Amino acid sequence: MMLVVSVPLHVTLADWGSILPELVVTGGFLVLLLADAFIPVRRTEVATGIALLTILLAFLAAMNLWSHGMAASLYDTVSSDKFAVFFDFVILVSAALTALLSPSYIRYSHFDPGEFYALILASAVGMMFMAAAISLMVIFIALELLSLALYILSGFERSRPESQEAGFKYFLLSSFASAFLVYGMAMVYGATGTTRILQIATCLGHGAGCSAAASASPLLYIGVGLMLVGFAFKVSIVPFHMWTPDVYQGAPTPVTAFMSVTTKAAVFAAFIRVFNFALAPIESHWYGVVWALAIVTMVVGNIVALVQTSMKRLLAYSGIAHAGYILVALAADNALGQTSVAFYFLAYAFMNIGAFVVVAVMESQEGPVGDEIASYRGLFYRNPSLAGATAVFMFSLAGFPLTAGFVAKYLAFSAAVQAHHTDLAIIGVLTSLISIYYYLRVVYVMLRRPEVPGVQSPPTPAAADLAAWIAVAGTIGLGIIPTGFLNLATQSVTAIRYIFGLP
Amino acid sequence: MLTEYIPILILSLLAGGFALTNIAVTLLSGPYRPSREKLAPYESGMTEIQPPRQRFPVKFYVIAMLFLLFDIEGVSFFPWAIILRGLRFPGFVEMLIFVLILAVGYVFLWKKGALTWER
Repeated sequence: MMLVVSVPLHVTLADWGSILPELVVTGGFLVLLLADAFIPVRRTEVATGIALLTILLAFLAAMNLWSHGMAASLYDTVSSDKFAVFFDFVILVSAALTALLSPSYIRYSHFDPGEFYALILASAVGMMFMAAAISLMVIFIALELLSLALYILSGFERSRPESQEAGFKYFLLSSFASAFLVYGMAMVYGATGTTRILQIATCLGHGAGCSAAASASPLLYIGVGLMLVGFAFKVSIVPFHMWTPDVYQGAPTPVTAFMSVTTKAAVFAAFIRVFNFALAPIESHWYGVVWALAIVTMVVGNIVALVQTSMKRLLAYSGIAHAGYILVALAADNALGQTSVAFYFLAYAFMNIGAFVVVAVMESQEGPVGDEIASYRGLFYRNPSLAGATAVFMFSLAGFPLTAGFVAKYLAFSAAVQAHHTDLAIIGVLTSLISIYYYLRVVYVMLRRPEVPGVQSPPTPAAADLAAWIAVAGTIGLGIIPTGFLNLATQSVTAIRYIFGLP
Repeated sequence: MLTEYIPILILSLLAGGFALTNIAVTLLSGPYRPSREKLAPYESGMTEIQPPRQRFPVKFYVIAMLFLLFDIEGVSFFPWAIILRGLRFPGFVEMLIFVLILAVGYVFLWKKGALTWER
């Protein structure tokens, strides 16, 4: 028997255009690999230049896509709505800041710049696809793509056992969590008969296009629970956060800077698409769990951060706490909540990567001790500009007014109040009060007189200095005049809500 | 609604019970006279003349891993080949792009010396 399969082909050039930013970054990845193979990229500048150029081109492509996005393309698996493009911006800005802070660290720890940037770009492609995915399968594949690159990057400093440990730990635990996620997706598919997010929403909302029993099926709820575990692990929500401090501390600092913001951004984008849109009709079933997770995450993250002596571990626990605040916004499940998640990540990209720029500079100047908070003593006298930048990032992470962190937190908590989840907002504010202690402790240590007075730090490397200044400008700019960026975030959320027929 | 799974439950209980019973019967009825040789990990093997944990070259693992990678990617040619007529020319171009990406990876690892056996 002759097997004749005719496939309706409706992949058009417009489809490819809708993933142009991702394609550009993929191209940059391939160019970097070839450049690394043929003209051995011994010079860090060449690799950094290729990476930055790629990011710039992808950014331009994303800007173009902002006004011409498609709600669904490539067989309804990928969307280039404004929500996806907004997260593309966040991911690309983070990647650019990472590329700027990396050169001095690469020279300090002697690793291969070509492969390093290639993996950063590969991971960025996965993240951008994850933010754009409107099919559970694409979410999973994108997650694997971004994770695989990050596993290698975490263990990239092969000479340092901590880095190897971080890579291995992240690989084992994270692939375990991926298994949870994909198992959950399989069950949701089993219950609803589709992997498309929009169709899951219509199925659960109106019982259209699938068996009416879908929202009563135990498969659905087991699947939702498993997916929640998978997502919660990837964004380090308590009690799935155990890997975070070890991996953040062990991984090379530029990698930590990159993954601490972008992984969370990409996974939260998918988290919102799945939980706030596909599963919105059954919100009453998942809300309680998310509520509990948000509270535990904010409390544990902030309290354990109080006793940290390593800057990277401190920032890891601070990252856990911030994941809790963002989860509050997600639990609100309203337009303001989604807007605040988008805005939060833009703010977080500047303030958190900024803080890691400081750690990377300290480490490349002082060696492994540069990670100890104690070694920041007297930094205001040794390197006033770097210390000033650190202070800005700490104030912003703590959520002081006139910084990006304040606006982001304010939006997240007011979204919770608007959704009548005042309890979450109150706990959020109380735990941020705790966080002021450990953020300001860093500022206090920097203000103390140095043990050896009169010694100046070597000048900050130019690229890292630029990264720090951009981050400071972003942190303060978003804090003082958030309107423009807030408007972009609102537009992105309006676009995605329109697709799902929500106001 | 879950009743159709009951046979599976009964089957797993039977299988588990069979295994447990066998272990219990051997433990309870068989004689147990341990000695040093009997408790050695490879009781019926040769006497070891040197510690078996030695370093040995693991060069082949890189090759094996690369083989797996390209093997799995090669598998994706088969479904494509079956529906190629339906995909027409654009489908052919898409596969060329896929092969190009693979080729870049191949060139990269070749140039990086991942395929050289002696180093």
